[in-house]
Amino acid sequence: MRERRGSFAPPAVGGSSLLVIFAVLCLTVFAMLSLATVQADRRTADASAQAVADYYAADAQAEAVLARLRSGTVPEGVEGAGGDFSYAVPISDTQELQVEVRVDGANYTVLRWQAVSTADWQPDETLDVWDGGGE
Amino acid sequence: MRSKAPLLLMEQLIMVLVFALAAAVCVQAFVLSDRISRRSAARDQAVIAAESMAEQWKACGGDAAKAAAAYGGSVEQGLWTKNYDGGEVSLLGGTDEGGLRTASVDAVAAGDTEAVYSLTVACQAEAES
Amino acid sequence: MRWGREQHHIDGVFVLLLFGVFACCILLVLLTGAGAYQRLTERDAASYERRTAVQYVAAKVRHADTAGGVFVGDFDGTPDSDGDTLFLSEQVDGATYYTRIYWYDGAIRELYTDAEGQYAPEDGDEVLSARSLSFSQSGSLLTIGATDDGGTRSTLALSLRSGGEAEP
Repeated sequence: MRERRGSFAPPAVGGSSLLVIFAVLCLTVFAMLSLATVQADRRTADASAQAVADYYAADAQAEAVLARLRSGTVPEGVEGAGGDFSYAVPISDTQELQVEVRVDGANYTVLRWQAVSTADWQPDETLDVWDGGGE
Repeated sequence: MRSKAPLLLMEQLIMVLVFALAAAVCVQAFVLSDRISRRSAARDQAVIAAESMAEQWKACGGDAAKAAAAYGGSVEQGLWTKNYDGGEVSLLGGTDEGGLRTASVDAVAAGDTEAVYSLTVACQAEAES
Repeated sequence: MRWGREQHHIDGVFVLLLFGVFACCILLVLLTGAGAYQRLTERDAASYERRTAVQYVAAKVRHADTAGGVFVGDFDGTPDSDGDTLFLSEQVDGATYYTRIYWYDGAIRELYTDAEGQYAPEDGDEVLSARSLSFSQSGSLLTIGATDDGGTRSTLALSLRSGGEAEP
């Protein structure tokens, strides 16, 4: 009775606990989200940087093969003869660098220096698409 | 007399400590995230700068001096250095061997000593007769 | 006696005040955390856009590097070394097909069509949103410039390997 008359009704016991629990929850969620977002972006950035490095490694190998061709020797794996050669250097599991080059002594002309996908491509045949045929 | 004040005070004190602890841990997480994010962004720029330099070198047939004259940067004893938004990228040509010229490109972020990103490039050189 | 009651009174006020200060501090910390998270995601998104625009075009060019297969021009096909459209041409069953890469209406677009025929910039598929995309070709060096939505410009140079005759 005395409390009711004189007191200022301070916050009930547990008020600040509730506040702190809520705040800690929020902060934890923010921290987790930050980490998750940053890790995800870093993974894609890593993949991009790795792809570039892979391409240059294959590119350097292809140039090495070309140098050998220019010096007269035909390395293993190179097809063709009489000046026109073609070969392929793997870039990664799903890509390879295909080269077609015309060599004439020490001179050369590059016809193709193309990165090509070697991954299995499964056409999606679940829909019956009209192929243009009449009857 | 049966004031709840000391109890509440105690409780608040404990909660302050709990919160301070949790906040310290979360701040660590934020700082780590920030560091990863910055490093990732710096590396993205380094990749582009290194790639451009490698390609420009190849387009000039492996002649660093010619490339520097055409695309900027300075050459000193076979080392071609160029600034990019975020640091410095340099190309060091190796010796020709069997008609093949190789070079290594390193991108170093401003304020670092270690390369953020490196590439090895090759191009055709004069054939040995 | 009265003093006794006021003591309670003051205790109550004091605790309430302390609670208020505490609550404000907590709010401040939460807002700082939210701000930090926002800055982080913005930086990541900007970094993604900046790197992807340019690396995407580079990957497409490397997938199409054949003699005469890559050139810069106007959208309708006239070659122009400072054009706004990149053409990647390929031969399929004897017919020529162009992949045009260009910027139109806020996004980098890609359009794969046969070489003849009239097409409009709206026909292309949106790849990535950006503020601008430009190409410039001099000799065997192709320069790609892209400005992302945040205004940052990235430039990537590519050396077209094909068609490079060289007499060392």
